[in-house]
Amino acid sequence: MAGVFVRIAFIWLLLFMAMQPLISHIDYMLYLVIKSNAEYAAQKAAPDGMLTASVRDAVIQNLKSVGFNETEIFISSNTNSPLTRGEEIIIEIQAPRIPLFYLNISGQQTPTHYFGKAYIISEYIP
Amino acid sequence: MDKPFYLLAILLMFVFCWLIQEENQLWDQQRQLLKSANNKATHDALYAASELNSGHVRIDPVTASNLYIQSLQLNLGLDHMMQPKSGSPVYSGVRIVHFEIIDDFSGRSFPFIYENSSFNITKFLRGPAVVGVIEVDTPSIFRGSHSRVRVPAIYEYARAS
Repeated sequence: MAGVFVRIAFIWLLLFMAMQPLISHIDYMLYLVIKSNAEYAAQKAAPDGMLTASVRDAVIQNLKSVGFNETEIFISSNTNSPLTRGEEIIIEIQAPRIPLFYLNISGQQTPTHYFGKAYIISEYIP
Repeated sequence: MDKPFYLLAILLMFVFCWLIQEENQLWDQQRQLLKSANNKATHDALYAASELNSGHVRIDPVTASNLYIQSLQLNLGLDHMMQPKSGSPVYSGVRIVHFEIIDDFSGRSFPFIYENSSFNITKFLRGPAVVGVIEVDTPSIFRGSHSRVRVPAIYEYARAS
């Protein structure tokens, strides 16, 4: 009886050992995808002075292709009209985060969203 | 009797591999954050370029340096001492180890091959540029002295040939 109990307990440990590094790696990749897309959007926004619809769509397509749901992606900027050369453009991207731990033993609240934010100076000359 | 040791060895191997993975991921994450921030900072420093209408580019070193620092502070969440604020994605203070301006008044004629052996940078420059190198320390268990991340970035006004 004790042997059965040990085996059952060990299966959970094996599952944890197999799954946790995978989850950790996926979380790390998705974090970088959000950050690099914020960077990409900011660099593309600089010549136009604002986040254009085409860049916004490109970012959404990038995020959709790695599994994010389009309706859960929030992209915001500090302007809807072109800012002139020298003004600051801010781009923010937010998307839901996968659970960080396969077994959350501590019960602590883990981050629920990936967040990317980028500042860049506008190059736009009207 | 040896079974507990066998299980313990497996568990330790798992913990060891997991920690190495986490450390490598963290290092790479920090490097990408720094590279993105440095790219934007060198871009922002070029805003100090003036005399564009005269056909020459002059980059004011003080303004460019201030814009470079300000951009790094905003993008990496740093205070005025370049130390991370609460919630910043970096784990230690950011050091600017090299900042260089190459404009039309630097005594160089474009294009030329820019070489900096101190930081292993070689780049074909087609126009006035700003070069910045930053570094940061990352938390380390296994990497030892390799835990430092150093990232260069160059932004140039490329002239149409």
